[in-house]
Amino acid sequence: MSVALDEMVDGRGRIRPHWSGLLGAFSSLPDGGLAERARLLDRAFEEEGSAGLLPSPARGAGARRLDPVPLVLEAAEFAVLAEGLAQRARLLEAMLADLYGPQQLLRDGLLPPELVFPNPAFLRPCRNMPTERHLHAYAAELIRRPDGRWAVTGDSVVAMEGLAQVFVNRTHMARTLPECVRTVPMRPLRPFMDAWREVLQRAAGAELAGAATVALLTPGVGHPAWAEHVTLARELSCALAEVGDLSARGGALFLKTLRGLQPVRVLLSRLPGAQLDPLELGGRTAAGISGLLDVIRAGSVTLHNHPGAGLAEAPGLPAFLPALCSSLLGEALDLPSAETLWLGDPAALARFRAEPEAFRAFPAARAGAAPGEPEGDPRLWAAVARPTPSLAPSLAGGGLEPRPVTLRLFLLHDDAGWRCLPGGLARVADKEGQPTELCKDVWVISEERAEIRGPGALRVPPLAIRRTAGDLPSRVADNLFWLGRYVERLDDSARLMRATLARLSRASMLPRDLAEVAALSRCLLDARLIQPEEVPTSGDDSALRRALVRAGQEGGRLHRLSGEVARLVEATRDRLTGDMHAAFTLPLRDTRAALLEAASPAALGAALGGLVRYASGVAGVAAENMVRGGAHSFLDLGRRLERGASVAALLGHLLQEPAARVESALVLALELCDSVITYRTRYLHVLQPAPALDLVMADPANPRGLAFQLGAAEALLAGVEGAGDPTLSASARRLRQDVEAMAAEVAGALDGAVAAHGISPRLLALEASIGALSDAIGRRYFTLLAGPRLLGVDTAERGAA
Amino acid sequence: MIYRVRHVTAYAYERPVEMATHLLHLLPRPLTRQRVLQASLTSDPLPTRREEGLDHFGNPTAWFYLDRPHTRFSVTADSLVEVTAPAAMPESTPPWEAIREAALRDPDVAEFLFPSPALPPVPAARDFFAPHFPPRRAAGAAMVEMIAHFRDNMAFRAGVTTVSTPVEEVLRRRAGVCQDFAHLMITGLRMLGIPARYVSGYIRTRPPPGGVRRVGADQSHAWVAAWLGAETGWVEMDPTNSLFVRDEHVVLGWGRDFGDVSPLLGVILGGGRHSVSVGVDMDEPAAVPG
Repeated sequence: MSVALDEMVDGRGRIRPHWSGLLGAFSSLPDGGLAERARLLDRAFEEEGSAGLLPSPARGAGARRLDPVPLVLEAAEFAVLAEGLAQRARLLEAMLADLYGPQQLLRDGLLPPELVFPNPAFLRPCRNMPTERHLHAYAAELIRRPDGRWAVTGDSVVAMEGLAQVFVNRTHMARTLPECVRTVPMRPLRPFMDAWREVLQRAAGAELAGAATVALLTPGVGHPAWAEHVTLARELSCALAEVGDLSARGGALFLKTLRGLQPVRVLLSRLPGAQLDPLELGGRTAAGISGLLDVIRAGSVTLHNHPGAGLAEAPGLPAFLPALCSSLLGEALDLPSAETLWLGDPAALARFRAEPEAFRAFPAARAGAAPGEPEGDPRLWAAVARPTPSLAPSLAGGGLEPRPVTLRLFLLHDDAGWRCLPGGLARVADKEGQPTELCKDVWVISEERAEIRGPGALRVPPLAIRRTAGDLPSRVADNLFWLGRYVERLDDSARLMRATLARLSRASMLPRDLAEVAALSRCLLDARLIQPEEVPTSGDDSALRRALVRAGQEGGRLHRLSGEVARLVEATRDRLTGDMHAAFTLPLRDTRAALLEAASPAALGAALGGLVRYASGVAGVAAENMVRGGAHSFLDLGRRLERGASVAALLGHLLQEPAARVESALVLALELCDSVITYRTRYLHVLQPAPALDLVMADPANPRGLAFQLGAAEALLAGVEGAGDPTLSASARRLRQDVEAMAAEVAGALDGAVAAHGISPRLLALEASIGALSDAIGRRYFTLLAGPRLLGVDTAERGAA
Repeated sequence: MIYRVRHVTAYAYERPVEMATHLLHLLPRPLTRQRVLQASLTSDPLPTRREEGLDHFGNPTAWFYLDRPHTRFSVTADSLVEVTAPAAMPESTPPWEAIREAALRDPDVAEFLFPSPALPPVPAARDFFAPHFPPRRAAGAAMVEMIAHFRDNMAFRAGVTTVSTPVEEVLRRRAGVCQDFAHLMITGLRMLGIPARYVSGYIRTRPPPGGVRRVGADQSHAWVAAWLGAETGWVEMDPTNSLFVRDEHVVLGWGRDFGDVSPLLGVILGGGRHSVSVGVDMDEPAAVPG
């Protein structure tokens, strides 16, 4: 095997000139030097939650890291790469146009049918579809061979992952190594993004500027590239959508928002083409946007890239590119590919058989498949030479160490032609030449010290002032609503558990304590924090103690609730600033860990305190940082309804106690509603049903009381409803009036204790009514329609003859 | 022969369907041996948007889009078709082993050599047909023998298979319906290197005077076309009835397997449970209009 080339050091041990600026800057770093900066980078990645921006091959927890040593590329060398990749993009475009059109390449034998017909990315319904262009963006993975030439090891036109990571990396480098970023004259990344936004705006039609005309289609929050899609959508100022948010009607594509359907003109798809339209692209599931191909054919939406473009990723394709290039473009292929053999060619097969260890074999027509042993028909297989990537310096053990690197570059078609991002994503490779989780920024040296390129010259008419957030996609509103509910549910659960724990840890329990534990157990049971058999019987509370600990353990209710909160935070990430995201994420992560480790009541109590503080933190950050209306409304609404339902249930269960024991019910009610101090301030030590229940039920100024929640919900709903149908806010108002009536009844009764006991069933009914209101909100704003289903695949519907 | 075919598919939904998209392969495909004299396609309720065109395989295709709530949906395809028997298979056909190489040179044919979504390779399917393909036998002769013996140990039985029953299962049960038999034969032929496609359409089940009643329940039918070299081209065979197609079949279209030419596909939003009824009437009109 040939010897890998070193990016920084030439064959005679001398530093290559374009690295000298960086090395000079490194050597003059003050205390701690580069190692200290690496530590800062790791921490910044962790804290900003950008650790998830790049899908790691290992998928190890927190595995993505940024090496403080960038990969430096000379201007002339980058120019060669940019030109070579632009040619390759033109070539792939021409090939796609032929394969989705006349298929002359197959008739002339320039490409074997095995690369096309068995390829799941060849989408037959896209054949002969009027298409101006198949590729709008393109990414290539490269290595530099021992002979010094760069070679393409992979073409990406569907996922094109890593672009957002490039911008995140550059931001972190500028922040962590400002000396180096200032010293080395490198080309900026911004103009590429400006150009991209301009391309999208032009494609969308400027007359609709400001509306949700451009959307990035993501597989969704569970996908490894979710964070990448969030960042990209933000950088490109477009809506982030999942298939369920989009619908095709009357020959056009729409995004479902709270205000109704907003037209989408350009869809940046990050989904494999075959998953886009369940009606026409087959498959056995109804997932996707049914009718999407129709709206593409109708010309009302453009996909970047074309759904069928994935054909260009076939692993066997590079074997034919030199011939295709001269046939389709009349040019020689500038940039070589990693040596690729199509095993349907007898000579290639013989070469592979003679030296199998030098290659990795892949199904020739299946992008993204794992390497394997060629079996069956060799015509369905391709073999790619194991690369010998060049070495670049990487920080290891305090010093620089040469390690193999791969380079990913990104291109955009900007109507004039293909332009290459002057920067990219380098990754340290493993011994197979495959990228690992350690990435590097890529610095392209600028020849002119300052590259001045203003933002797009596209003229956009002045925007109409808007103060509402009607464009909020329904799915986002749904997620925020449930985020609000679940954070509050965590808070309520933690408070309930904490109150129980406090009584259980008293040295000797008085009869009053026992009564309170019994009442609390009923509430815990209702909140599904414990099981019926764990309710203490005849003084034995050991099962209850164990149950409380278990709630925070793996699989326990608190653990699952906090996991659901974490998922919803991720799902709403595009609505949260970096600081908010950190505030919503980091304390939760710590608390979850503390709960898992909590073995003693004291440790559990401390962890529960952490949860309570987390919930207030989320509320505070949201209150201080989110613009009112839209996103904030739904987050707050979720919290108000959850708290309202929880307080109603709590009071309902506590007041079920016989009237004689009303006092312990009131003590608990005040404690759990965080209203002890207020009560004491107002009434000193006299505890009576009427004033206590007035405080936790009807007092409109108590933010933990029932009337407050329902009043807030009414106002929020009225804001969301605007001039529309006021049914929902009216329901909230009626519920609040019920609460006031109940409190007034207790206050006017001769025997307050009996009256309090009497309203218990009505409070439990109120909990159910709040649940019904929540469902009504969901029906009106979120789940517009039931999930799609496929017809025509049942036995009864097929030809039976 | 002139046939009138009326194909009605009716869906009833438990709850309103809010939106529906339908892809229809219900119009007869014009061919040299099949003249489409009349064809109409209509639905109740009418679609809010309707498109027509040809699919990748050249089959007539229609798209119906409904975006108003509805609790039932029926589609009626009505056509009048004149069918003539294809030319007889030539005396001499190439040896079956030579067909694969020839097919790879023509993309329109090569496509049908490869496994398709519903039909992955099944070695047992190749073994099932292999006895009819001894070395160097003429492809045409092999087909004649294969089709003549197909029904010897296969039972036509409705209800034992579903649309997604794999070919292995059909082989194991030795029973199924037209679609199963077509899928089995296609899989075997492809594995032997012979391009094979799935043909969707109808068969006349009422026998002509003195003739034999064909198997079929006045419903959609499916059969197979195999490519026997550039000279002979595609030859259509009906495994369910163990015969070569003459003038008793009406072609709607063809594809790699059922999935490409399913008569009526749909994606609906809402609807709850649904029921469907399908009725096909095929007859020979006494008087042909105009």
